[in-house]
Amino acid sequence: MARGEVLLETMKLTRRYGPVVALDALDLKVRAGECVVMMGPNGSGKTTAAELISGLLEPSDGRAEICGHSIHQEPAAVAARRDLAYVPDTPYLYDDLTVSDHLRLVAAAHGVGDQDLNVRSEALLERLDLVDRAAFFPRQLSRGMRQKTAIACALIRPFQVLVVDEPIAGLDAASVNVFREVLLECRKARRAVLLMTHSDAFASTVATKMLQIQEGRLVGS
Amino acid sequence: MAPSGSRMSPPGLVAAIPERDGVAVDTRYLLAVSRALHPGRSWGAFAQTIYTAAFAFGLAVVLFWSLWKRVAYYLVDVASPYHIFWGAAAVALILLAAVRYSTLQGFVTYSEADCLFLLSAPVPRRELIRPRLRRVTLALAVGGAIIGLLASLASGGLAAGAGRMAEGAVAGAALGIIIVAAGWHVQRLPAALTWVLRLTIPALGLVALLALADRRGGTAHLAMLWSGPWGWGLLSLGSSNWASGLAGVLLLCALATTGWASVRRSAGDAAVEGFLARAQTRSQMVAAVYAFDARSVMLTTRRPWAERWRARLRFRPPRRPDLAVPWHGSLVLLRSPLRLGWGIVLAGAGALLLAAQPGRTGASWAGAVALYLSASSLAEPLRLEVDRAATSATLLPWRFGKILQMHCLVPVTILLTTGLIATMVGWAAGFVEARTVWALAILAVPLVSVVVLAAALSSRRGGRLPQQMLLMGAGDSTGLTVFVLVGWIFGWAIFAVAAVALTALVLARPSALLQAVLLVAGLLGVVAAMLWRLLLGSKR
Repeated sequence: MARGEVLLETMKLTRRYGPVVALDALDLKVRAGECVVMMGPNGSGKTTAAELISGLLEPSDGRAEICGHSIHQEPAAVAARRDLAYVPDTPYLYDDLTVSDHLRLVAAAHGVGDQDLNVRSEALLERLDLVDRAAFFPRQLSRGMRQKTAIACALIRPFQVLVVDEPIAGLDAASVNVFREVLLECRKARRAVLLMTHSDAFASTVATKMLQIQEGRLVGS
Repeated sequence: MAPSGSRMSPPGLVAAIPERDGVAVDTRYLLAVSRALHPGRSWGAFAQTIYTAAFAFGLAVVLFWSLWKRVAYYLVDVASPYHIFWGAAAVALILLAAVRYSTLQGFVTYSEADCLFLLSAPVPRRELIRPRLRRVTLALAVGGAIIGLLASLASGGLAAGAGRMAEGAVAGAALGIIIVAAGWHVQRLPAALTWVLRLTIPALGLVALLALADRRGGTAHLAMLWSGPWGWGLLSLGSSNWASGLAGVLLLCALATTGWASVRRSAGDAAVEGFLARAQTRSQMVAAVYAFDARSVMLTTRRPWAERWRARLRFRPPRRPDLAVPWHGSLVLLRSPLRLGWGIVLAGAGALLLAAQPGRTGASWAGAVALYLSASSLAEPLRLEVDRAATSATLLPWRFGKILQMHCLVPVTILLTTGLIATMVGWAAGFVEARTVWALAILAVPLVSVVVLAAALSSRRGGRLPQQMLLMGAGDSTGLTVFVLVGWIFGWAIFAVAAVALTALVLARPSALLQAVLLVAGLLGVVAAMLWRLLLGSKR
């Protein structure tokens, strides 16, 4: 990986809901080793940006590329999805799968071999304090535990770009520290991270660049 | 078989990138793992569902047997060979229902978690979606073939011959495939979805025209059969000409083949956004159904963003504070033109039916139901107030009951104006007698007040069944809870319809009209005053 290579790029990325412009021509570049934090008030467009970049929403205009591949255009999107890990603000989990089942499914979806899966899931569950909950279903978990499961799902597989939306909401102090370590390790491992958060204190400890978003537009850094 | 291509990484928090560029993920392996992890429902649970559904259906048929017989008689006249009443209209209605269903859910659905884990996996999306599309197409084609076969048997009996039965089966199967294709394109194309929503009411009008043409027979009937896929499959049933039947089936097959080809081609073009929105709607709807909350079920079907353009429609609020709530109600109705239009059409039709045929029981009952439906439709601002009862507590100075009363003014005005205009038009056209017009002019205010207040009292309860009623149902072995339940749901509607029917009785009397009209107007006035007071006592 060349130093400073752009791994995540958006070009005039726009999303409209009728007359409301939720995200207005977002131009963004996140390079390898960078952790860009996007901050802004409620309704400023952070989650819309995260969902557009992760391919959950379709743009009204513009494009988003992960490692040079458009996330919204098949078949390029297959490669983009391979390189992108996303942690949404609401942890969407299967009601009928346990925590470890989730990890197995994500591993299968991303070609993680069985041996690697065992080693990595053991390490992740331990670091995220989920070992005792590995056989639990989502409804048996607290909001914070579900959030940690979603984080474990994102980390179990290889990725180049990590997009995280409000990751520390509902997490206890110890888990926030573990997540901080994750982000710092991502930087060290030359991955690109885009983080949406309200928390100034948390952002300042992990960010290489901080952006302010307001009414769907970047207003400063 | 587990895919290869990834190497062992140290047990850190961030996984190492595989050495070679990209990891080959086998879609079949992914789907096999997903299936293995979701074992699905047991046969026991499946059998229980079938039993419950069959039991509920049987109960409904027993309860509504006379209504069922009448509906079945109009839909399919089995006794009349080679003729299925309303056949093309029924097929068109099924097609419309399918595309309308696809705006809300559709034939291919995924859970929220599927959207994040399965559809976001690095595999071609078409490989994930195609198997589901294939399964649903097969199911509908087989179902359609069976229905087609039964329809050809019903229209011609065994005398119809194997050829005709085969035509029926093939036509049914083709229609099944066309339904899936139409539904799929509505599901994946936002523009198609918007057009379906816009054109539903005009399409219902076309269905009514098809039904009329069907009953008329002759050239109109023939034109209706050739006018589209809704009629092509019925060509073999509707005429003794085997060539036109075969042509119809061939046309259907050609359309089904084109439809299926387009479905296959576009299987990978569906955005996750649509699946995710449908999954969220579904989970909200399921939660509302489990809470027996009909209102919340209805609210989940709305698309708030689709209505945002209406925010631009505004007009100045009145100076008088008392008119603030009616102003709010008018604004809500003007921003829902379809609801307003529907309310006006129902009010006009109801008044006309009542005025034109007061002596005919069927017409006056239909008129009464139309008037109540109109009032209920126009009571939407009141229902929104009930949904967000806490909002008015912080924003408005009046007690809750008073606010609900004020919300009745706009529907009363609309019903009165529309009803009287419709009656006058009916009189001018010669449908309505002059004495009925002036009788209705006297009765209109108390009658409309009773109907609107009954709709308001029904709406003020929200959509959720009271907990006591659910508890009563759980411990009831007599089955009487069903009647209490029906009474709770339809009680106010029945009350309003009875009030209108009473008016119809008076209008139908040829002699001593004035005294009877004045008596009923007074009676309705007293009832309206009581309902008005009852509404005032409403609590948040």
